[in-house]
Amino acid sequence: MPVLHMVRASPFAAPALEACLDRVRPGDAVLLMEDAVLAARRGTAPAARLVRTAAEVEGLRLHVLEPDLLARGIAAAELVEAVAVVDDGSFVDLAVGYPTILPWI
Amino acid sequence: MKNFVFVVRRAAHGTAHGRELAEAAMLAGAMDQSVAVAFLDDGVFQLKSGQCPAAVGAVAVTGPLAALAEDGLARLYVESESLAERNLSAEDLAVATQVLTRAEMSDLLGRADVILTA
Amino acid sequence: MRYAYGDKSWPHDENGYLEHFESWDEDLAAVIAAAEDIILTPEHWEVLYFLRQYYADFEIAPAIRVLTKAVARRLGPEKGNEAHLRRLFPGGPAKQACKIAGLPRPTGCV
Repeated sequence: MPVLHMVRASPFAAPALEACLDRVRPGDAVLLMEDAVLAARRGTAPAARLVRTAAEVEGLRLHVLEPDLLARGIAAAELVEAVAVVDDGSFVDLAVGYPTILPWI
Repeated sequence: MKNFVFVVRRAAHGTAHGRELAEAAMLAGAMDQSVAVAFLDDGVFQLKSGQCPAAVGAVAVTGPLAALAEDGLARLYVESESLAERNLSAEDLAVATQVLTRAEMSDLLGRADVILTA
Repeated sequence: MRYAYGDKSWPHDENGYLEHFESWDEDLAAVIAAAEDIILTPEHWEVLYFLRQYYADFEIAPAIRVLTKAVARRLGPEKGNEAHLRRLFPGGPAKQACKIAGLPRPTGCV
């Protein structure tokens, strides 16, 4: 069964994102929210890790929550191409679309 | 007069710590203390331009920081290594802040009478 | 809880602070001032508009010491001193003036 991984912690402050990306399987999805959206800004080590994992794991989908980007002043142009921006509405659709949700604090 | 240094190490809006520290620094500065605010590690994200905290129901932090600097209530410092690790530069910041190296930042902390962090 | 004047009304919180900064106008200021036993003079308006500009710029309602410093810096020391501000707003320059100016309650107000 595909798993939706929800990551909330900043990748610079906690190992949650890395721990998550070490364990994702083909067909899973990762949603970056709260301080974890900082991982999606290009030009950093966590962003490079995201891109690498997206290339390695078949069918892995990476999402980043729009309100958290807006709050932190991160524009779409700053993001790596591997991630897709979702708003609050599609976040709910995403969450109900996966039988299993795994939070990474 | 005491030499206060407020240290901000967390990013904005995941928690309200940045705003709370800015408010505390503002009060200390208004009491005629020597106040510095040091942004290091994820704390540098507090200064990023273009923030819209209302998107997550949070309150502004760059506004109070600008007031601190403009009214001379506190001096703002940001660590260059922390910026570089996050692919940020001084041009990405909403508030004029003096950039210090990590070694200079350590000296600043070493000279403090009181260090406050959140 | 609302302030009312003619056919206008404005929601406020349990302490009388306006809910929506943008909805403020001079009629509302006069309503709140009257409730606080203050008759607004040009000197009052100067502080009220100063506070509105301060909040628009910095998104924070200043505590008394912060307000005094900011007024002194921008309008001069004869205006930016606590005695002058207390004479205008006996209920507390920051608390009372912020309320009449349509700002939220000042933080760390002492």
